[in-house]
Amino acid sequence: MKDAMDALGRYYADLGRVPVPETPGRKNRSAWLLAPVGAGLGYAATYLLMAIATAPVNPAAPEYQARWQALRAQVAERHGLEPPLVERAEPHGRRLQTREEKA
Amino acid sequence: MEGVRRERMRVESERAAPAVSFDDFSQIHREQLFRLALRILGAADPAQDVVQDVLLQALRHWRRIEDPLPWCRRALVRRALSELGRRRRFGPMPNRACTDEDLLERLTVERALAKLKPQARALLALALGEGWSYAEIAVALKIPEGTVGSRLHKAKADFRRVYEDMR
Repeated sequence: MKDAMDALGRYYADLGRVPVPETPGRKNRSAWLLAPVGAGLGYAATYLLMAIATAPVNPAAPEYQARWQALRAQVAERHGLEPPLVERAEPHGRRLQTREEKA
Repeated sequence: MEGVRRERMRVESERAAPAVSFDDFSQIHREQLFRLALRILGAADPAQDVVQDVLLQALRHWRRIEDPLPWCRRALVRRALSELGRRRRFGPMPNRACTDEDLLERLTVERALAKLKPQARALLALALGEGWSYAEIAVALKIPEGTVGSRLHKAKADFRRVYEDMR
């Protein structure tokens, strides 16, 4: 039967052979510091995507102008509206023409 | 009162800071501190935590520590003791190739140590594992030097009794 103190000595000697970990500590505190940074980045990315998705259309953009003209023509055709009335619906602050001016 | 405080601050600021830089110190002595913590706690993960905490503590007070190694060793023993007070056993040791008999013996030793009081465990680790003198142990554990011998004797007897009961 092995003596208890011999076993304890071997146990301590065994512990002396455990490899020393490379990292200075198990608690990776920087990971906890990075968590709010990650959350902030996630929030910023979501905000940016939402901003792009809900951004107001640029009325000066050619594709918007083309769509607007097509819509205006469609409304005029469906409801029999004259162009001056349709002009009133134009949304971006152009001075509206009177019927006389239009004529 | 203010004068006393100012004088103390002047003396502390004039006291020689450690000759070695903190980076060099932690590089050189990290392994030694890790082994010390490992022998007291018996598991690598909490030993790493304790070493990390003690090194951080040393860094905070670096300019005021005259001789960092004994300072860190004392701080580490106390920190490991408080860790042992919270939890007696920290899970299995890292795997190592060994025979069944070795493994059984190691597990029995771990279980027997877990039954001892934290201070008895620290005494065994410091005296038998690390080979510290009674004087060094007395300073680290803040007990009189004469008490170290008697407590170590009792710790050995307790360990032997618990170990034999478990076999």
